[in-house]
Amino acid sequence: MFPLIILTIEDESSRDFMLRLYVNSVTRMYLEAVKYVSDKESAEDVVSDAVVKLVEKVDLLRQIDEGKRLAYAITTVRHMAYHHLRQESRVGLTSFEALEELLPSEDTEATDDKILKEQRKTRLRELLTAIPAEDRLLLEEKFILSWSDEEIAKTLGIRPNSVRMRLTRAKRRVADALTAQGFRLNDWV
Amino acid sequence: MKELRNSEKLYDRYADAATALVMDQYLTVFAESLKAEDFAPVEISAALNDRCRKLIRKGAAKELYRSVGKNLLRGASAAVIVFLFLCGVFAVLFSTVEAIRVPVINFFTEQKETASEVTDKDENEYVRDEDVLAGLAPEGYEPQECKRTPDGNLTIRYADAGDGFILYDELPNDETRQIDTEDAVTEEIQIGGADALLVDKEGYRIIWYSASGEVLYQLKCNQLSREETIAIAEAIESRREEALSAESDSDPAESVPSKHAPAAYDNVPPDIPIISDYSQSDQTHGDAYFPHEIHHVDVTDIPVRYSYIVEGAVDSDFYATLFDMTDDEFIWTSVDGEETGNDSIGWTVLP
Repeated sequence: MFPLIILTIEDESSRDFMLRLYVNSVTRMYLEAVKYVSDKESAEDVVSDAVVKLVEKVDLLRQIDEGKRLAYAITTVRHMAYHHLRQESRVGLTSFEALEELLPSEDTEATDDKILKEQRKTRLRELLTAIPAEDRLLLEEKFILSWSDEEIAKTLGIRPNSVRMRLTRAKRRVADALTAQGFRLNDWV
Repeated sequence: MKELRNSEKLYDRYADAATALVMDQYLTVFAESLKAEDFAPVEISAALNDRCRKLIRKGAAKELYRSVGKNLLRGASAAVIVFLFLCGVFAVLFSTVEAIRVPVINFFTEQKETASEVTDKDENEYVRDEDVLAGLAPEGYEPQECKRTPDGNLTIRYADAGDGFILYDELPNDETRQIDTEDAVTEEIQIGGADALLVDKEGYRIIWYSASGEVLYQLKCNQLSREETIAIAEAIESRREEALSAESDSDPAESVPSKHAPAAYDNVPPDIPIISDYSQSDQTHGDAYFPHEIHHVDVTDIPVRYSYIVEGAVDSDFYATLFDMTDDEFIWTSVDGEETGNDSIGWTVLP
């Protein structure tokens, strides 16, 4: 009985945690949704679908840095928007090309640290534009959102076995692109 | 890198690690850009707020159940693993360490013995009507045990306040038995006219067979003299012979022997007179006859202990019942309602 009480308290905290995240993120999430869907009703549907997904990932959200939680929430909204549009047969993978806009433009303030950061961003931008949008979606869902193969398959409308194969190919393309850029692991770590 | 290419598996691991790193960097950069971003405030509808808050509450509850179930499963799994581990440790220790094995075996043996004692308690109770030593043991000896096992073995044990004991056994003569006569003085004697063996070792032991040879009798007295031991054996045999002759005199067709009555009457030593006068009932053994109409017998002055027999002679039916003695009054129960013939009461006073 005692562990159950502890779990209940912990869940109260989870609910509060999610409510706080929602309050802090909902405006930005909504703005992200309206980028991809035209009407207000669809945008609200996308946001509420994203909230459901976020609640399912509450354990993961607790673990990641607070600064990245909003990014995670926005990414979730974007993927739910894609899912929403795909269900309405209004979008194909290749037309979902807005990802590169997410990266900020280069900062002109020149300190050594910032120069390094800007170099990294530039490389990242080049890399992300070099790989297909389909791969980017797949990799985001796997590596950022930590979705299972089944969840990814559902969003992309493919079978879980296909997810694994596509992921392998996408990762190889990323590695190839990095190699082409003269990537050295130590530069990133 | 060429080497990595040669190993597809290794290259996939590299690709996996590199992709994870890239995506982590991507999320970091994205988060930083969001921090720096200015966005126009927008009003969120109350409907969306309500819907999302409900979804969060509902989702949190669902996660609670999932989490509880997962934790319970994890706890149960841990408990099973711990249990199996302890079983394994115990099995290894039990099979390899004698210091553990012996106490464990002893524990279960003791438990078994305790259980047996409880189970056999009724069987170990002193059954008066089976006691062929009743009235034969010297003063100071008290009955400790009188038990007949299902396979016919009878064991009677008397003991005094010290270490003295009298042990009597009746054993079916259906197997070869060994008697310890090492460093013992043995002597062939007669008990009831039958050949017997007297063994003098840590007391006296007499072994003899029944007339039919089917039963082996053994009497052992560790602190009585040779003569006392023989006297008890002779008395036992005399009682048995009298009982046999009484049985042969009676018409088997008219007799429905009770389980207890014949043995109880065997207990009355032949050398003590049976009296019929109730007023003289201060004898150690006695037998009083009275009409069956008397259903109340005052036994206040009768120094009777343990139990006595009421036998009703009702027409051709004999019936005997063993009663426990009360302090001042015995309430006699009519045998079968038939009011003919005489009834009798017999008793034996034990030391």
